[in-house]
Amino acid sequence: FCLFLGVLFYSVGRPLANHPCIYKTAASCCHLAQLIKLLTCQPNQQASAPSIPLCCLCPMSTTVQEPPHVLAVDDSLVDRVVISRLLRSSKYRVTTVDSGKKALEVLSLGHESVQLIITDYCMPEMTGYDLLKRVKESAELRGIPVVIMSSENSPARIRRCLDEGAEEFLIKPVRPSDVSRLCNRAIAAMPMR
Amino acid sequence: MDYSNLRRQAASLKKGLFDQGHLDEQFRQVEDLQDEASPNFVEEVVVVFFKDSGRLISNLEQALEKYPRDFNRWDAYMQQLKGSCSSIGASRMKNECMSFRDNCGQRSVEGCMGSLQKLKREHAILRQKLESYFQVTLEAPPCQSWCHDRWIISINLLTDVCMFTMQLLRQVGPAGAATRPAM
Repeated sequence: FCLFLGVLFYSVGRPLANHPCIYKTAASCCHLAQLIKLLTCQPNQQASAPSIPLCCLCPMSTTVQEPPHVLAVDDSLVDRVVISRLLRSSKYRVTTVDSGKKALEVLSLGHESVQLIITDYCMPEMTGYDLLKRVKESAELRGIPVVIMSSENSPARIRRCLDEGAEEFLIKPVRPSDVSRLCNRAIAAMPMR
Repeated sequence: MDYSNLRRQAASLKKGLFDQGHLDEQFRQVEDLQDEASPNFVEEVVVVFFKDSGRLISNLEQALEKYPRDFNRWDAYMQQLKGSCSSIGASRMKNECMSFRDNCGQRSVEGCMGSLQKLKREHAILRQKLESYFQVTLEAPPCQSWCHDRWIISINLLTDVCMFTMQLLRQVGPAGAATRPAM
């Protein structure tokens, strides 16, 4: 019985502990609802044991699957650390690179796995705009949504990026709520590839 | 160890940093990213920031010497530094970065030099204050709200045990009684 408790704890408790906190409460409510259902229905109506939902209200998935993969491009080390943590706390897989050139290398190795590119605008050699253009000009990559970040609030720059196909333009410093909102929207709007 | 006293001290140090304008709201955004999965995230980011900003300031000083009156180049270096300051919420440093860039726009070497000296001073002050703050927080770990997570997990565990027991009883109950050997 103790072994059973231990197995239950690790199989149910740990995944739940890793879920975003607002969904943990929802998942608990699902558990309680399942228990009430079990207690109140007749034995002959009980077809099978109710499945224990990992997270029935989580918008990402009710089954265990790979979280979306985001490629973050920024020449600033501090910004890479912050954006990486920000995305990971929203349960995305993140790859960070410090230049547009390295971003294209990562994409050439495995573009199918990347579901969103979030890039700084001002970078030496290849700007975020240049990277955006290269992505949208490529038949293989153009389906990947691109979000641009910049500390300069320039309407001309914003217009140019959006016209080139950027999903959104964020002003730095970015807020966690902005990034997770945009990522969710951009990934949800992505056509099936 | 009187943790409550140390926590009060840490809170006071942090409040001072905000009240004196060294830090702004963005620092709180960074703090919000710290959780049980990354319990030292803020300190890690701050360490990265001071290493990176030290390097950028050093690069800029070399550029000031090597490329006299190359305001575009100087501005490009300072733009990078301003971005880092902005991302971490280092408000006073960010203001000095903006002042430097304004002086670049006005093509004033003296103005740029003056701004750079002020920036270095703010850099040193912020570093010293944050080091003091982290020293105190290390000695007095924050009250962790682990109760909520453990409570949630306990509920789930209890309901799972109850569900299993209910299933077992319903299957074993009447059938078990029928198969029990007669005494």
